[in-house]
Amino acid sequence: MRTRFAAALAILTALLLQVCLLDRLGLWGTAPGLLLVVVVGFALAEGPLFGCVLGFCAGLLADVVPPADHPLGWLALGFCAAGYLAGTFADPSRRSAFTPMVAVAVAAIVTTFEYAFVGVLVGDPRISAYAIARVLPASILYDVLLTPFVIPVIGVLARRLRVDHRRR
Amino acid sequence: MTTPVNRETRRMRFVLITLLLASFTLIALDYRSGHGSPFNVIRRAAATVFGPIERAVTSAVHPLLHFHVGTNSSQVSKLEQENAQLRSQLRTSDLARTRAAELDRLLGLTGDHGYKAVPARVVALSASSGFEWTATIDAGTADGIQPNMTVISGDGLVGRVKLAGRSSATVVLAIDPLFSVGARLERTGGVGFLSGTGQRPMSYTLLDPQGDIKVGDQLVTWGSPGNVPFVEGVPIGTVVKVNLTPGATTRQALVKPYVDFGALDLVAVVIPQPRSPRAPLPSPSAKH
Repeated sequence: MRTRFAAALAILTALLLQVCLLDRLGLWGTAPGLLLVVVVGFALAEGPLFGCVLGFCAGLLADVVPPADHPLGWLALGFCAAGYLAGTFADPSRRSAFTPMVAVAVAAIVTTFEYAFVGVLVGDPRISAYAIARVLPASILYDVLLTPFVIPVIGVLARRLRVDHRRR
Repeated sequence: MTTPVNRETRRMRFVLITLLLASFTLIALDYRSGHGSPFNVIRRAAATVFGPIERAVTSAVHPLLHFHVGTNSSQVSKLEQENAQLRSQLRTSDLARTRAAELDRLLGLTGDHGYKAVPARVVALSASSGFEWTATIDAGTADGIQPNMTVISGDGLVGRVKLAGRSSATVVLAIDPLFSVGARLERTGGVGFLSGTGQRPMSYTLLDPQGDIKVGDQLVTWGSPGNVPFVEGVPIGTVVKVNLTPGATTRQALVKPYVDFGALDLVAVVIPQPRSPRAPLPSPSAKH
C-alpha cells in the first residue's frame, strides 16, 4: 500500500520534472524519459503486475497533464506494455548489473514503437519515419543514461517500504 | 485445479489485457471525437490543476530566472512600466538585460500593429518530445485567452492556442507537424501555406508555381478572417531553400523560423480586437 503511494508520488514528480525541466533542455531527438525510467524502476522492484498498472497510470497521467495534445490513452498503452515487460525482468535469480539498463532499453523501444504504430494506425502526420529515426536512438540513449541515477534509488526505496511493511 | 501460481498468472494476464484494451478504447474514442471530444473537459480540468503546479516547478528549477510577468497584466502600458522598472534597477545581470530586450521586441511588435497582447511565460513542453511540439503557458481564460489565438514572441510567430484552462493554456508550436498558417512573402506579396515539420525547417508551399521566391525572402502571417486564429503581419521566418519541381502546381520551399523554439520563455497571446464598423458612404443630398 505504501509502495503504491510512493510510486504514485514518484510518477507525478517525474512527469513534472520531465515537462518543466528535461523537455526544455533542447537535446537532440527527444528528451530523457524520466517518467519511463521511474516506471521501469518500480516494475523491476515489484514485478510485472505492479509494473503494468503503474505504467498505465503513468501513461494516462502524461496523456492528460498539459501540454499534451494527443488522444488519451496513447502513452498509457505503451507505458502499460513497457511496465509489464520490465516487470518480467524482476526475477531476482536472473538479475545482473546490466538488467536495469536492458529493461530500460526494452521499455524505450516498446514505447517509441507503440507511439509510432498507433500514430500510423490513426494517420497522425506527427509520426513520420524521420521523426522515429530521430526519437528512437535518442530515447534509448538518454533513458539508459538516466538508469544508474534513478533505478538504484527506487530499488532501495521499494525494498525499505517492503521490509517495513513485513515487519508489521 | 488452479494452483496459486496459475491464479497469479491468470490475474496478471487479465489485468494486462484489460488495461491494454482500455487504452485502445480511449485512443479510438478520443481520436474519433476530434474537437468535440468529451475528454476535453478532463484536459481543461488538468490544465487548471496542473498549470499553476508547472509554473511553480519551472520557477523552482530555473532559479536564475527571477523575473515574473504578472499574469493579470493585460495592458501594454503595464508592460512598459515593468520594462522601465527593470531598466532602472541596478541589476546589470545578463538575464535582466535579455529580459528587457525581449520585452522591447515584444512591445515593438505589438505596438507597431496595435495589437492587444497578454504576456505569459512558457512553463512546460510536451512529454512526447520528438513527436509532439506543444507548450504550456501560464495564462488562461481568466486572462482573456481562448482557443485559436495567435501566440507570438519578440522574434516572431510562436504558435496557436489549442486549449485554455483557467490559468494556463496549451499552445501548438509553429514547428509541430499539425501546425499550418497562411503566409505571405513580404517582398513580392505572394501567398502560400506554411506548416511545421518537427525539427527540420518549416515547409512552405507557394500557391503560384511561377511565383518569384528566393532564398532570404521573409515571410509574415497572412491573417485569418476576424484575426482568428491568426493575426496579420506577424514575422515567421526566412526562406533557406527553394525546391525546383518543374511542372508542379505549387512551389515548395524550406523556411527557417525566427523564433528559437529551444529557448522559449516570454511570449504574448494576441487578443483579437472587435472590428469597429465602417461608416457607410453618405447618401446623395439632393432628393429626386
